[in-house]
Amino acid sequence: MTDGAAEAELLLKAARGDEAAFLLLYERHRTPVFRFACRMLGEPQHAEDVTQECFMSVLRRPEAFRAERASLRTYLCAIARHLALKQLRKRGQETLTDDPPVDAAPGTRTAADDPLRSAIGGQEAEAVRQAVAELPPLQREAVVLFEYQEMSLLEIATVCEVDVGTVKSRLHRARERLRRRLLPFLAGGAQAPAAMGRETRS
Amino acid sequence: MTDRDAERDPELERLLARWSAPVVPEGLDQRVLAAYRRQTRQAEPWWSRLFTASVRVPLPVAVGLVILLLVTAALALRPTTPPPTAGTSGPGGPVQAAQATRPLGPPVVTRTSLAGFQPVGEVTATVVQAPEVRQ
Repeated sequence: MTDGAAEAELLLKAARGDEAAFLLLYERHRTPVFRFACRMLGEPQHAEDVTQECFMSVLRRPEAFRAERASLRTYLCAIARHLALKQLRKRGQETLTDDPPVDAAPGTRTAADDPLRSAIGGQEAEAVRQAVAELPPLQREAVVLFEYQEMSLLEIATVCEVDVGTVKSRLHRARERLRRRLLPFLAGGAQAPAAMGRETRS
Repeated sequence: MTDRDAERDPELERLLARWSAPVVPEGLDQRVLAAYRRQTRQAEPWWSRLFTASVRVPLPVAVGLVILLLVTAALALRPTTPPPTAGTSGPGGPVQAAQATRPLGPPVVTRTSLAGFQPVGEVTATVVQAPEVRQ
């Protein structure tokens, strides 16, 4: 029996009330689902809601999971993505276009604008968090799934229900934005590497 | 070479790796497990739920119900004296036994008869003073 088929079996058992089967699946997949939701939404409380609802909804229709199409992790991430986008829609933050214009107000300063201060204050992680949070949701999910969830392009395409070419395009645009936002922290940025090195050691 | 390798950007990757997502909160596990139990319980057939179902009752109501139950039980279990029956053997026989059950005191007239009643021919009203009534 393949891993996917075994997980499908566990899922059916869990849906029928086998708590041990559910705990096995939950403990195996809770971290990637929670972290994905957290990076998409930016707030742990909302990520908790999404994680809970994600597991409950997969149990409501266990037969909808097809092991031959995708892994359970990919399937769970797809559900979490839907739920996260729903939350963003409620907040009015979901953008339907892939590449909306950068609309930072003139004079608005972010942590990435002042790298030395950010690095000294131990804020480079905050700068990255903020830069990712500022990405449009469709680009953000591509970056999060690729960089943090370490999914393949095909898996990301399955989660996002688009083709691989679209994933590549979103990833490319997202990286361009991130590079612009985080330029001072990258190797080309003045003073940043030294400051970041000190921060890492501290 | 995988599709991931072709798309990688090591420099940006190193920087992005500095942001680590928070760990899964401990409370989430309990919350999800509770939600799972609720959900699977709803999926059970109704007869199966009868064995494990519970009802929450406010304490005053529960105390009242217990008291009511105790009082009812006490009344039900109280010893009672059987009433004398008509067939009781004794010197006077059944008639005497029946008389013994009658209440004592003046007899109460329960029936009146208007046979032979005639209304008066002329009604004369006389007003008398109160002292006269006393005399």
